[in-house]
Amino acid sequence: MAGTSYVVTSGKGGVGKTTTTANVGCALATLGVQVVLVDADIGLRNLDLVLGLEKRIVFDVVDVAEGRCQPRQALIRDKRLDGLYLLPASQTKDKESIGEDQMRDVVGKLTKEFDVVLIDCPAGIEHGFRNAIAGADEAIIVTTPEVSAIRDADRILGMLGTRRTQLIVNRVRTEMVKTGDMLGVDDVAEILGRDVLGVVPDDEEIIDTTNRGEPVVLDPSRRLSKTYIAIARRLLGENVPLPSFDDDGLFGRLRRLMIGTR
Amino acid sequence: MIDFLSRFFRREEASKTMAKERLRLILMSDRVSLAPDIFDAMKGEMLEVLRRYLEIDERGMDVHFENAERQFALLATIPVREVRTHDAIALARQPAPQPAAAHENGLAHPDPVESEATSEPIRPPRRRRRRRPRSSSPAAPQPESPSDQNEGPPPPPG
Amino acid sequence: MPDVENERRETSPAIVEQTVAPASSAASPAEFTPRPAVKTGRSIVLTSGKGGVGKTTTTANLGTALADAGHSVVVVDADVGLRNLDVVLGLENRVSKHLLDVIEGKCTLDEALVRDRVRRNLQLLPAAQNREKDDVPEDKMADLVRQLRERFDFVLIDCPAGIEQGFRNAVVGAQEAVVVTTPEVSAVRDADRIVGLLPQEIVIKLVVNRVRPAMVRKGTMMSVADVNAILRLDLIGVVPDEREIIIATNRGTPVIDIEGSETGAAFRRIARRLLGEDIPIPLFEDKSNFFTRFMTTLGVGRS
Repeated sequence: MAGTSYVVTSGKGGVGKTTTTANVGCALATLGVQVVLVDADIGLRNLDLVLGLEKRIVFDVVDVAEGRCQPRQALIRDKRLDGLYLLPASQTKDKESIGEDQMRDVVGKLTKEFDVVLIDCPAGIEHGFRNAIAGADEAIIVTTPEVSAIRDADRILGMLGTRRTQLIVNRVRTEMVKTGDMLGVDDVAEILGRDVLGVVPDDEEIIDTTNRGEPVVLDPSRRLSKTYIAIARRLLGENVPLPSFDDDGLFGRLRRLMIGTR
Repeated sequence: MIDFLSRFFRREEASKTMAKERLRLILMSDRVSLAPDIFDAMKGEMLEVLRRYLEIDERGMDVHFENAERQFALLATIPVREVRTHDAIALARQPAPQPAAAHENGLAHPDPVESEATSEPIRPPRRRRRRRPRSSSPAAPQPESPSDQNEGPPPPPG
Repeated sequence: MPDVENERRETSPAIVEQTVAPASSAASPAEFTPRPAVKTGRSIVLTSGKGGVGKTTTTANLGTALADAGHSVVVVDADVGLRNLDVVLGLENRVSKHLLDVIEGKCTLDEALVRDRVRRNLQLLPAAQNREKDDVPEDKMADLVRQLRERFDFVLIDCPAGIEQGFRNAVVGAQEAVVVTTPEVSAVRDADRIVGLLPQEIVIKLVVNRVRPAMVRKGTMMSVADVNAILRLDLIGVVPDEREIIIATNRGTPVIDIEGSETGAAFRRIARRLLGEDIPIPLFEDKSNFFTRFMTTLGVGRS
């Protein structure tokens, strides 16, 4: 049975597509899923860096698309996790060097070999974006609870057609939600009208682990490790309850009474 | 000046409430500008309804969305040449004769101006029920069906 | 054209002095060369490669700070299809026409420009939301920037993320570039790539944004020195990360207007450095007071 391909997209840059792709991919692998991560950000690749695999790149997705090598030759197997593979982007070519049909083709080949294909989408809505979504069955939209990010996410939703789309709300700062200084997960879900696949709290750990090229999921003692495993489980269809960022509970109401609406 | 004052007072509001309100308006504006075909179809359907009652000067017509402070509105200036006679209106409002057995319930009639543009919706319907928007156009015709809860276009009257 | 005259009257005193001074200081009539009355403002593109590092926030706040310093400023949103400069400035309700309308002759520049609510000498040229970046021809963009430089002291161009046509359009016509990065490997890598793609003649400066001094001290974040050891650019600013940025964007006001914001203060200093002032770049101390810092050093207290 063919696997499913997901594009991890956002519209707005810097909201965490690449770290999400890397960590959800690792989480799926730890659950025994055969996963391949595809970096579609040609010319500005970063998935390799976040995974710590940048030194092992020989071939890339453009080489595969142009027939210079077989997909298998370009795939980098992660030595730390069984079942996790990376198809890197090219750093020196630009996004026009590959077309939507070629991407569809490559992803099609990959879904025959893997249970899950996660495609890391570049920021924006230009060629790179269109290529990245071309091969995708479904979409995962990453957004932060900030005005610009939500606006761009809404724009993207309009471009994804009838694909199933789910949300990951990233960088949530619980304290700020409680004091009314940040939109909550419910707000975001309501505004965008989509189901929430996951909520990731803002955590310094991400910066640290990205710098090292060691995805958070590889270390079960890391706080965010559990978060991404939960997301992976939900993606696979398990009913894992979302964390409660309760700003409407009794505590929240009491707090608001004490400090006013500000 | 009033603008500045209102912004001063708004500072007391939780910034997230401001964010939510601003987003609401921004997204309305964005969604309208990003689907011009769909809204052209909407305008077309509006005119079909109006033509049953009025003779309109279509060249002098202006229908557009306007994004003003805290309000997003559909503004229509439609010069009226004639109001149709009672008979003409009654005729125009009668449902087209059906070859099959006539239905008593007006809701069973398919909407005569079903637009082809809806084959691929912009997005699937929201799970949650939308709160009634604050700024509904006062000129909107009241649906004649007894139930006020339907979210679709008002059924053809009669 | 009456409108252009009005704009000139708003010229900062600094510019007026420039045009007057030579005449009065000329040694003899033969040496006097009258300066042309047309101004040539500075065009600066804010770029990064990586998205989400703070280009738009920097453009908005720098523009506001320069306006506060008395200069006429236009901030140009070059992110066709994903505009956000209007939102960050809280001007989204006032946008009607946009850059593409001007380029395509569908309206005049004045009809598209949006004046800031608070600063009369700050204006926004919005991006189109429902068009594609490929729709903007590079030469027309260059012409527009030239036109803007004749009217404004500063033309700040907010560049979209990436290296595609959007980037190319934003860069064409800019004489200077401010590369914005954060102290994270991906951002630095992309900034480096961007520097390689900028035209030779462009003068490049660096802003390091979203610095978290506590993390730098712990060694879990690169220092500014680490970043610039890789990029080797002329550093004009370091901006700390703060929750105030989120609150400011929620409200649609620039963070420089928030009392006590270190981020805001940093943007003001960058504006002054752009104007030629030689202000040292501060090493950021954590907001926590001396006592807490003392405790943390001893290994007691929050890690």
